[in-house]
Amino acid sequence: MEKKIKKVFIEGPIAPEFIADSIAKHSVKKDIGAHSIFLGQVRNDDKEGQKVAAIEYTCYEEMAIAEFTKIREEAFAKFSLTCMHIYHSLGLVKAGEICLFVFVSAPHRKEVFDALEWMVEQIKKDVPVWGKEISEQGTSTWKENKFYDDSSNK
Amino acid sequence: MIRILLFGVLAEKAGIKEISMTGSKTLDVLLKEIYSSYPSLSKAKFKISVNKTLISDLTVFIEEGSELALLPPFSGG
Repeated sequence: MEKKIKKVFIEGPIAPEFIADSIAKHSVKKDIGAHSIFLGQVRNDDKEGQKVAAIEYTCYEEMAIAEFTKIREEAFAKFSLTCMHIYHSLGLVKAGEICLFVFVSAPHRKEVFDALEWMVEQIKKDVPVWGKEISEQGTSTWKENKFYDDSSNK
Repeated sequence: MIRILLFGVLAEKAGIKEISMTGSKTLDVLLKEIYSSYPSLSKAKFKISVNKTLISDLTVFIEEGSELALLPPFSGG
C-alpha cells in the first residue's frame, strides 16, 4: 500500500507518454488484476460565441496537497486497492490536452470502477484548484464545477 | 498579523493576491474590514479557510498568525 505524500501537480499538460509510462511501471506488481484510469481533457466550450482555447490552472497548493492526501487515505480505507496515482496540471493546458490523470489498481475490477468514480468526484468537489478559461480571442472566464455548495458562507 | 490569501476570480476582482491585517478579531468583523477596503469582494461567492481548514462559523475568533484564504468555487479536473 502506498500512503506517503506524493507529487500531484504537473506544470502544463499531462503527456500521453507519461500516462503510458505510468501503466508500464505497474507490470512488476503481479497481484494487480484490474486498472481503471480517468483522464480529464480540456474542452473547447462555447463562451458567449467564443471557443475556449485553453485553461490556466492555479491552486492553493498547501491546502490542495492536504486534500489530495485525505482523498488518497479515504480511498484506501473505503476500497481494497493495491495502489493509486493522481496527477493534476497547473498553468496553461490547451483544449484537447489532458489536465487530470487518476489511476487506480486492485486485484479485481469492481473495486477500481467504484474507487475511480468516487475519487474523481471528491477531487472536483474538495480540492482548491481554479481554472481560468481563455478564449481564442484572449477573453477569459472563471470555470466553476457544478455541485459547489454555497450554503456554508454568505 | 493575519494573512488573507485571495485566489482565482477574487484575486482578479480585488487586484491583489494577499491582504495583511493586524489584531485578533472575529471572522465577521474581519470580513467587514475586507469588504470596506475591497468593495468588489462584497458580492463575490466564496468559502473561507482558516489555517487550511474550511470554516463556516462567522463568529469564530481569528488569532494573530492565522492564515486565511478566500476560496471561490473550485474548478479543478
